[in-house]
Amino acid sequence: MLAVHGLIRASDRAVVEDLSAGPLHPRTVVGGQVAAVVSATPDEGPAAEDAVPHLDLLVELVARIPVLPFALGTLAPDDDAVRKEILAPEAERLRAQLDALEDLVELRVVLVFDPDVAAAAVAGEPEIAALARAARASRSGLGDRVALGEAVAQRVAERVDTLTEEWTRELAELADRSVVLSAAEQEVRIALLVRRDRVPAADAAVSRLREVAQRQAEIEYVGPLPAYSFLDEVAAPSSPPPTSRWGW
Amino acid sequence: MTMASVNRAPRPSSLADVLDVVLDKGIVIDAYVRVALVGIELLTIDARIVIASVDTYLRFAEAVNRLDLQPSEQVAGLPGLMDEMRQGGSRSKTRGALSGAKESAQDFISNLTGRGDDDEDEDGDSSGNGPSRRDRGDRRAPASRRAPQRG
Repeated sequence: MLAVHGLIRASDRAVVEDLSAGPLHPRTVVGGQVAAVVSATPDEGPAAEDAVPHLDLLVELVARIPVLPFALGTLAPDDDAVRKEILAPEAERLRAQLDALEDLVELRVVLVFDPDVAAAAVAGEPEIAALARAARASRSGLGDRVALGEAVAQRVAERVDTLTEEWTRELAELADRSVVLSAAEQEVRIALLVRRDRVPAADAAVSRLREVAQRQAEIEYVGPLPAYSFLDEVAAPSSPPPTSRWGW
Repeated sequence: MTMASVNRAPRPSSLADVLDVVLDKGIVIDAYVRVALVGIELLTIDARIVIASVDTYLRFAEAVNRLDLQPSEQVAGLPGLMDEMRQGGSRSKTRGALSGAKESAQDFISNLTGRGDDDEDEDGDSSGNGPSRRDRGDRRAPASRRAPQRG
């Protein structure tokens, strides 16, 4: 069985032979102007541990060439099935998608806000202080504590929104596109579609962001990744773009 | 380029976060007959916990009450929440849970095919010398999520 990791332009396939030795021993199956990057895999399919070498391979490729990633667990019985079912039916569209992604990579920024700092920042507000007094009153009950906590949680969420927008404005501006992947509890995950030549500028912006966010939030910064979060937009311009809460 | 100083990781460090990137994401070609998208057993995902809203509210209430009662330099914050993070394993594992709580917890739960073994390998770097997972018969991936097949 073959694991299908991603698609590249056929003209870039020498890069696959050139890769540093990983556990996968990838090779290419070429069909027209597009090539699938595949590796041998046991018939029963992937396990969770296969995720890391799969992503490592794609990351190594996207550092040099455009890559369309397949979901982990895409399996084909043989080269012929890859050619007939993946490459041949969509060759033109796939090549156009790869060309569209030529200069673009995805960067991810995760802001992890410190809940202690966030709660402390809103505790002094009059509404919160009043609710806190009510929750501490002798006849207060669970309802009072929930009301206080709900108000704090809401104010913390608003603060997280405001700070995220302020802190990531520079990054969003230098990206071609950006999207909030998730914003839950005190963690906001953002994906940025960035031109390769702007990655150093993004690096610099993240360095400044880390300075500004010091003690309030940890900043995780990952990439370049294949453009996972923007495939629908860049690779298939006809579909409507997903909307973020800030309308970036 | 000043790559060394910027601390940009080439990929997420935890297996849970890597899975979040690569599962169910990527291009889709809907003419598969022999090619298939096969589900995997998500051993790490069951460590993800979802903290219910009310529980979170109570912890915030506790935090603010404590702030009110103490001089500001002695702010203790959210001991309960932090304890829970530690209980749930490493910090990053729990953070993964929080990040997915609203949007993707449902997905992960629906993908969950059962409790895994006692594998606590958060790092997930399987390129080491340990015994191959293929030797462990209980970790087969069910072909539970085949792509829709069209003639």
